[in-house]
Order: sequence, then structure tokens, then C-alpha cells
Amino acid sequence: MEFDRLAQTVTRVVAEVAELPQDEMWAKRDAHLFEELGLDSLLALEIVAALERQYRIEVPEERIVEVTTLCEAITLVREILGEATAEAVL
Amino acid sequence: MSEELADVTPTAGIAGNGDHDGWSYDGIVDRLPHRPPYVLIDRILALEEGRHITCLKNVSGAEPILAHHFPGRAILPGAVLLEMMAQAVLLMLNPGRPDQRTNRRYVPVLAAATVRWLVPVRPGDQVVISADTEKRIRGAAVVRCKAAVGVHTVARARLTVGTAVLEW
Repeated sequence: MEFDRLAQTVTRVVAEVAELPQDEMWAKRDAHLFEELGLDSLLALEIVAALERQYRIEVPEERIVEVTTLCEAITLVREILGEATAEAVL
Repeated sequence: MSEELADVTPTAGIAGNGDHDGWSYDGIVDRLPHRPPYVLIDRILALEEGRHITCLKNVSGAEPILAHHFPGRAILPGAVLLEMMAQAVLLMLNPGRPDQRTNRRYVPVLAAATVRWLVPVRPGDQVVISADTEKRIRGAAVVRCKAAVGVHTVARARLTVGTAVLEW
């Protein structure tokens, strides 16, 4: 996964909630947030809420379960932003 | 939120309809699992279930904690202010009474808090606590809170609440 601007921002947001340094968070981008990094489901909710504030998006409740790694969080934000852009163009 | 608070005067509930539907102190005691002197909300001023609440707490010099915090210079502990916000959130998210048959209730419990205390709160202050849900899913929520005395914001917090089953 490319460490572009969106990936950097999502990494910063997730790292703040996870209380990990950003470089460590990125290094562990494929690690399971709950099983390997010791986060709990409430922190997943905090991550999603923080991403919603950062990007002014809304993550549907059923998609919150997709956020199990940093990479998946980045993919989710990218998809939602892409959908929003597509809707704006239409 | 400041615009909403500007419309709320502490006497609004007293002169108006604050005694109906459990918005008074007795109703709050009935709804909260806490018991005096640890009930830290005196009145609900506005409630939109699950989304928003505005509450009032009159800080008296007779609060037991103020005798010790600090002798000769009473200041409400920041932790108590945080608990006020947590109780407001509980009332907002779970304003119902316990199940009469099981005596069981699912209640929000504070799981995490990011808080800033900005101005000391002292005896005689009327604290208006407001809370707005940012994100809510089944069994958990992230809530933005604010406590104000007059026009001054005295604390801000973002609370994450989970759910626990209480029986009593």
C-alpha cells in the first residue's frame, strides 16, 4: 500500500487513538488492531468517529467491522471518499 | 453548541415544565443507578433521546467533597466535573427505568475520555452540561460534552461509552 497523503492522515488518526507512534503504526499496518495490537471494539468506534470528523464522512454501522487493520481503515476511507466524489460528479 | 446553550437559562426548568416526565431531580434519581450524594445532575433542561441533552448542576458549598478540596479554597474536582458529564450522557442514552420484572438494565458506562478542564468551578456556580452524540452504534457511542458556567466553558470532553448490565 502506498504511503500517500490519505494514508499518512489515516495513520496519524489511528495512531493517536491507539496511542502508538505514527511510524510504528504504519509499520504494523497489516497487524490486527484487536488481536495483535490489543485494542478493543470501543477503540474501533473511536477510530471511526475520529475518521468521520477528519474527513466529514459517515461510516455505516455495518462497515465498522471492516476496520480491523490500519490498511483496511485506509481502504474504507478511500472507498467512501471515492463514492462521495462519484455522487458529487453525478 | 454555544448557540444552544445561549437559549437555556437555569430557571427555565424551574419556571416551566421541568418537573414532568422525570426531568426533575427526583426523576433523575429514579433513572440513574447512582445514589445521593453521588447524583451529580439536578435537572434536565433539554433532552433528545440518544442525540442531545442539556442538564443543570448547582454547585453548593455543602458538597461533601468541597470540605476537603481544598480547605479554605473550595474548588470542584475535575474528576467530579467529568462524572457530571458521564451522568448526563447516561441520562441521554438510557433515560428509561429498569425492567420491573428483571430489575435489570443495560446502562452506558464510561470507557474512555479525552477531557480539558478550562476554568475552576466553585461553590455558587451553576454548571450547564450539554452532550451531543457524535457516533452511535448498538451498545456503544462517542459523545462530545461541554460544561459551562454562564458564558464560560469550564470543561470540554469527548467520551466513549460502552454498555454494562446492572441489576439492583
